[in-house]
Amino acid sequence: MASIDLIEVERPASRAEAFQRLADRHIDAGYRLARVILGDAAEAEDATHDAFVTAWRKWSTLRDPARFDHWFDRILVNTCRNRLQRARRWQTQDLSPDLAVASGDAYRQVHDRDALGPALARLPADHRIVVALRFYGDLTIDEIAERLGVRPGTVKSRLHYALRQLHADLDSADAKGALR
Amino acid sequence: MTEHELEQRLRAWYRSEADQAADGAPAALRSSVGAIPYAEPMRRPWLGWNPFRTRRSLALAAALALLTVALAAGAAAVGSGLIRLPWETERSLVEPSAIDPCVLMRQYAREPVILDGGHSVPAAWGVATACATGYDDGWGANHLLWRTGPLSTAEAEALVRDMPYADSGGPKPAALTFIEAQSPAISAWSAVLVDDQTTPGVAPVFIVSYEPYFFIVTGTAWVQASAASVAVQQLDRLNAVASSVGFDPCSVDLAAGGFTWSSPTEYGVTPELSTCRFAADDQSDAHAIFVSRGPIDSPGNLDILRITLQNRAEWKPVTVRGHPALFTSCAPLLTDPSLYGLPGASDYGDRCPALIQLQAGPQFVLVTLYPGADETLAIVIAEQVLAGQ
Repeated sequence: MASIDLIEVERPASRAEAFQRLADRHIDAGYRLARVILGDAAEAEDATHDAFVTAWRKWSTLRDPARFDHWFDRILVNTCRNRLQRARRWQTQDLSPDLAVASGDAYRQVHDRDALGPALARLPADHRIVVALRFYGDLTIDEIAERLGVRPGTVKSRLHYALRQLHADLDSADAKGALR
Repeated sequence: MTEHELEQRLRAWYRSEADQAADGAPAALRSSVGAIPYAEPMRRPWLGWNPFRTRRSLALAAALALLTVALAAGAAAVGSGLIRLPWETERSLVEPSAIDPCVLMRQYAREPVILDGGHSVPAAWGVATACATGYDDGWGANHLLWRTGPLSTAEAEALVRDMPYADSGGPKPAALTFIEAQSPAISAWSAVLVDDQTTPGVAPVFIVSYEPYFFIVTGTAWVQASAASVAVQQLDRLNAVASSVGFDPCSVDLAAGGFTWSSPTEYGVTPELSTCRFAADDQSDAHAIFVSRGPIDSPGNLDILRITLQNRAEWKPVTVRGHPALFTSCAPLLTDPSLYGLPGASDYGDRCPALIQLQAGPQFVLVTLYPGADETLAIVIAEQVLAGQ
C-alpha cells in the first residue's frame, strides 16, 4: 500500500530501512498466521523469522511493493508448509481425544477445543493451511489460491477433503464422548 | 454436525488460538527480524541483471565470458586427451591385483625432507608402516612411499607426476607432501590426498583431499589466499572434468564447498551435510558423506569431516563421523600451536584434542598419528573402519 516509496530506494541502507519498516508493520499478523497454522508458539516464531529471512533474500523479486502483504504471506505459508511436512516425519500419535474420553468429566468441558486441535493437526499440511486461511484469515477461495499459487479448483478440493476429514474425526470424538 | 456448525467451531478455535497471540510477535522475534538486513546477504535478480548498467557489471560479464571460454576449452582438451588428469585411468591397461585391505599408518614428522628450489622445508609426514608399496594406475608403475624417512625430490616428483599440485602458500616455494593410492580392485584411483603444512611461522594450514569426483578443502582461519587459490584452481579443474564427462556429483556442494572469500574465517568446508551418489561409471560409483557444521573457525566445528567411499569392489560404506577420537581436519597446528606460533592458535588447542587423522578408501585406511596419539586406539578404529563398522 504505502510501501512503494520505501522499496524503490536503491541505496542498501534504505533498502534495509524499508525492509525493517515493512517487517515491523507485518510481523504481528505474520506471527499470528504462523501460529494458527502451526499450532505452536515456538514453531511459529521460527517460521516467521525464516520467512522474513527469505523475504529479505528475495527482496528484489517483489514486483509490486503495494502487494507486500500477499507476497510475504506466500513466503510465510510456504515456510509453514515445509515445517509441517518436516515435523510430520516424526510425528507421534496424539492421544488426547482418547484421554479425554477415558479421563472423566473434567475433560468434557473442553472437549470441543481438545478434539479440534488434534483433528487439525492430523490434516495434511496443504489442507491445514487452506483451512487456516479460510477460517482464520477469512480469505475467499480465489484469494487463497493467489496466496498459495495454485488454481482455485485445487483450493476447493483441498478444503473439501479437509472438512470431510474434520467432520469424520470430530464425529468420532463426539461419539466416543457420548458413549462414555 | 452440519457444515455450518463445523465452520463455527473452526472459527471459534482459530479465534481462541489467535487470542493467545494477542500481544503479537514476541520481542525476541521482532528484534531478530530487525537485524536480518545486517546479517544476511541479499540475493540479486539474475534474470534482471543488466551487465552494461555499471562498469563493475561489465567487467564481471567479461570475466564470466572468459571463464566460459576457458572452461569450454579445458573440457575440450580433457575430452580430446590433451590433458591427462589423475583419475582418468585407462582401465583396460590395468590388471587388477589382489590386495588385502590394509591399514596404513604414518606419523607426523618434522624433519626437513623436501628440497624445492634450494629451500629446505619441512614435510609434515613420514610414513611408519605400510602394507602396500606400489600400484599401477594404467599409465605405469607408481610407488607409494609408505616408509619412514625423508622424501627425495625425485620421489616427490614421482608422486606428483599425476597431479602436480601441492602448495603451501606463503612467501617461500612450495613444499610437496603427497600421498596417493589406488584401488587395485577397480583399477581406479580411489583416493589422492594432498596434505601440506609448511613454511613454519608463516604458512597457514590447509588440507586438500582429492577423491575421484569430489574435492574437499579444509582451511583454518589463517589460510592465505595464495594457498587457497591453488585449491580453487584444483577445484575448477575438477569441475571442468566433471562437466566434460557429463557428471554432476552434488554440484551445488562442490560449488559451495572449497572456499568462500568474503572473510578469512569463512574458508573451509562444504556448508552442510551432503550425500551424493555417484553413478556415472565404475570408478565414480561412490557414496560420499561429508559433514561440516560450519566455518572452521568456530571451535565446535573442528570435528567436522568424514568421508565415506563405496564402490563396486564391494567396499562397505564407512562412517566414522562423530567418533570421539577422530577429528579428521585437525592439523598439527591445532593440536600443537607451538609448532607455528601463530597468534590465536592456542585457542584451538583444547578444542581439538583428537590426534588421529583418518582417510578411508576401498582398499586401505590411512591413519595419521599426531604427536601424542594413542596408536593402539588408532589401530582399533582403523580396523573398525576397515570392517565397515
